[in-house]
Amino acid sequence: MELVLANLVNGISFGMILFLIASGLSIVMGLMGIINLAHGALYMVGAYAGWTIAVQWKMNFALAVIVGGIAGALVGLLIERGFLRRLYKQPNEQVLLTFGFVYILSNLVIWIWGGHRRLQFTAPILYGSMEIAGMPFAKDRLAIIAIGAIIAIALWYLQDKTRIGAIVRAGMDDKEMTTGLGINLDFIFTVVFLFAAFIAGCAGVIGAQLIGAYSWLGTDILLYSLIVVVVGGLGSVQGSLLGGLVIGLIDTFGKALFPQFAMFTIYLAMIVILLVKPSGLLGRKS
Amino acid sequence: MRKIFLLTLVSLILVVFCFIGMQELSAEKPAKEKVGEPIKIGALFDYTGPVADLGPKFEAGLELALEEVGYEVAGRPIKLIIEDSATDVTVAFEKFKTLVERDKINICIGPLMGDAHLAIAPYAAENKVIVTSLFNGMYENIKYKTYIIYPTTVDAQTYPFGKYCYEKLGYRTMITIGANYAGKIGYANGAAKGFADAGGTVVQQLWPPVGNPDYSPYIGAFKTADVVLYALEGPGPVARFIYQYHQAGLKMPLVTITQDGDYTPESLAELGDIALGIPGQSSYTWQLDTPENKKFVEGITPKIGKLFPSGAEVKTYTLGKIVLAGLEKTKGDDSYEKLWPAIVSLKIKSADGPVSFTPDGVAITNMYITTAEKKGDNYVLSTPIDTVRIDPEFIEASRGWVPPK
Amino acid sequence: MTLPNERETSRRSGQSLLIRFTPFIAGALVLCILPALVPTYVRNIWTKFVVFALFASSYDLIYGHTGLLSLGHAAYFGAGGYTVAALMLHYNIDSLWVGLPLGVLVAAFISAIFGFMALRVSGMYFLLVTFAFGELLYSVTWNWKWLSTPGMQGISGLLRPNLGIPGFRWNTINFYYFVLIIFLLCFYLVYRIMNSPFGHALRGIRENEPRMQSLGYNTWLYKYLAFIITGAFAGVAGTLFAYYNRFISPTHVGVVTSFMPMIMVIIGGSGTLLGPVIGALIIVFVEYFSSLFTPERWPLILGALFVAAIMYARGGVGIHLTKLWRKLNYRYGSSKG
Repeated sequence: MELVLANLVNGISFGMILFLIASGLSIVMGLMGIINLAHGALYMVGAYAGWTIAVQWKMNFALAVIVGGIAGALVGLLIERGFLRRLYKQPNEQVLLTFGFVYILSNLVIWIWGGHRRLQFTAPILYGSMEIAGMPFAKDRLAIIAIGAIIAIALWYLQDKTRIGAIVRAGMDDKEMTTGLGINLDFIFTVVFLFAAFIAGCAGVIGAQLIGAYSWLGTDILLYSLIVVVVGGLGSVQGSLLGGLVIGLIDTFGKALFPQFAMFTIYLAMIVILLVKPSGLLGRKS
Repeated sequence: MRKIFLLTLVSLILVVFCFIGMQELSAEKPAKEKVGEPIKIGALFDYTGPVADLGPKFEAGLELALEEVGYEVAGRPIKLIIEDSATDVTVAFEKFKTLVERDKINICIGPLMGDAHLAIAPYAAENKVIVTSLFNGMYENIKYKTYIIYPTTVDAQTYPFGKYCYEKLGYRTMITIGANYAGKIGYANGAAKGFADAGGTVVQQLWPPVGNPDYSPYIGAFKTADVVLYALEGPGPVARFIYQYHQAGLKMPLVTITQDGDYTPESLAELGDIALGIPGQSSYTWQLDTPENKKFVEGITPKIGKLFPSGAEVKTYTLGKIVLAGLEKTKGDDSYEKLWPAIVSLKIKSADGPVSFTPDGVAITNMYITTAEKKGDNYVLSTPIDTVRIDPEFIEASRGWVPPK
Repeated sequence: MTLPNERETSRRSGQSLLIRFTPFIAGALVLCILPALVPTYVRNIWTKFVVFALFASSYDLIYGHTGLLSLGHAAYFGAGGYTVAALMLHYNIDSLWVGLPLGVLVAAFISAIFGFMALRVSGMYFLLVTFAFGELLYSVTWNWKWLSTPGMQGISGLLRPNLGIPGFRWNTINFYYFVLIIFLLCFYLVYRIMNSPFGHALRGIRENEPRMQSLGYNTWLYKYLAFIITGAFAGVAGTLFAYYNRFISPTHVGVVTSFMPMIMVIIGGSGTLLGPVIGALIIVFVEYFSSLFTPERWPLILGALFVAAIMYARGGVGIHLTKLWRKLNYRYGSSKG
């Protein structure tokens, strides 16, 4: 029982991190029609920036999260403004471009911060574990679940209950119609992209409590988030949340129950979805 | 269209001609080394990747050994060529080929990973290049007779520690968690065999992949035992594991191997109090009270600018001294035929204790039991709690481990 | 005595012949003559270039001609290499005549399976799925002990292929020509495919798939076949790579190796015959030079090159060279007064 609960907490907290990244990836993909392969790298940049704030300069952890988000957003701004917009209507080239940035960012991170891996770090109050009903639970994991849930609710509110959310959803469904209504979709694209990058950067610092930071974190987390998008479905907060939790739990329980097949459990999930419901569990388009 | 076809045919014929013709003409013998020309020593250290902090330490130790003799031996200058192995087997192998084919080295220090050694061994044997291990000496490579396995094979290094856990620490059941690559698998299984041979029972063995970011699923899968032995890739992963183990709040005591390699000043500083009191096997500790070690610590501390040298610096230092001693013996001849027998017949004293060799190239060294302690405001590796000479018969006795279940 | 006009004409035809054949002369020089004269280490780099030129050319079939962005292509490359390696490791079979065909078959088989599932989705999803399948195979080669020399990941100690010719010994020179011959054969095959009705149909699908469908083409089948063919040729490149590198590891199945043909095709020019080859040449040799001066910055250089190529060298170097050649041909090549 203790084992199941511990892994449940692990799985859900990991799933929350995946949700945070995948939501940004999925919205960008749904709205702009491109996969930002550098999204994982934005996560990584955020993690390193957060490390500098929280560990090197020993400042407030919440500040580190914000700074991580800003770092991710800045890099995202550079990629979108400087490069992606110039490749208008060329989705393949855009995707390839983002992949090139993964290489660049991974190496830049080594250049600036050095090649060795960063240990997990967290806020001093989240250090250690707390007892709930006689069983120990890591405090930082509980905090991640709480923060993730709050952000999920906020994003869902943004998506379903605000005007800007309606515009974004309309843009995903029918670009021409939306532009025809006089809405500057171009500007919306950039804003959405930046917002997704900001969340990715924040997620980098939040997730650093579990994973730390290292130079190929960008590709590692990208793989997970791509599978989450396939499983959960494109274009909605709910899809990313469900996909994130499913993959987080499958991965954690998979590693705990069948350590030799650790990596395969999530691929299996992806293949099942592909064969049965290719648009994902909560996908918007089919 | 016709033209292209014709042209392709012609080129093909040309190529086949070259193929047959060139066969006889080719003579690929490397030029004989002249005396007075520099001896080229290659090195493969880790500057990027999961244990990237080890690279500069390895470099510092080797440089110190070379500086002590002024980069010269038997009248020949020494040229040191270092490449980054990125702790990746593929990269290490490619860099090794570069060192051999482009730089024409005859001896190589490192790489670190045991599997890199397994990959390199056939190629090194073919090209008669002597390779040394850094921490992980692979038993499988003894047969090539181009391998200097130091401090000793991975299994033999930890075999006596397994016995120690049973006999001196009193544990009866054990769980091992080791990084899933040849080096650490060897370490973990060597200790497991020692533990079992002394009378203990290993109830569970877990193998997270190299570079695994999150140990909590594995910690969550732990059964119950008297002690948990961890054998992870390097300072970063070890620190992360200890941290997450502490976060999970489990009560089983920890022990470890290669503690001198895993406890660096940086990682101990990050861990703080939670690192204290974990006994472990080390092949070296900076607090060893010998004249050779005092000289080493004095020389290395300004180079690395840290509190104390860890196992990394001393390994390359001793390996450097071994190579230099061998070259002295052969009067500067770095060809395999002369250098190999010279090295395996050496008996020297280095910072980490006395070193001699079996005829197969396996070093005979000391093993120390250490832990982390607090000295003033700093966390450091302790003086030896115990010392054990690694008997050559451990090389065979530590093999043949049968996993539980 | 020749009239001034006639002299002019004959001079022009002499020039035109030279211009027409320059690319082929250059190609023959680069491919056939030079490698025999350079030091061993550089020759090995050359061999690597030829192997990757094959990999990139085959990749262009699916990317440049069919317009499908496949992100996990090293899976089929590695499948070929691992087949050869597994044969040597477990069955002691080093014969070329068994290894190469089997390698191609395994690669084609795996691409048939992966392609089937990947083609169930289109556009961005297709990319995602091919990426994930590449990583899946990476996991398989990492975890399945049968695919590794005991104690490590990957298979080492691979031998050069056994040709079955008694008394034949390999050296770097004849090995290079061996690789070159296989490359030229495959290259010719790819060329024929690109210029066949099948190739034209692929390009039609890339331009406008709905229109091809309305014309009665089974576009799914065409895409699927293109995927398998590309996978098969990638398998050839993979087996050659295994023989060349003497060592195969999960890295050769992973995303970093998948990236290689992509960037070579982009830089050299997709949809052209020589583009991928030129791209391979550029990448392999830039990597070599970078390893001499700034080995740690190589991924940065590669990424920057890639970004620059996508942004500014649209069509790649290959298009520019082709344009240049056509211009020269037009100016000097016409032998009419």
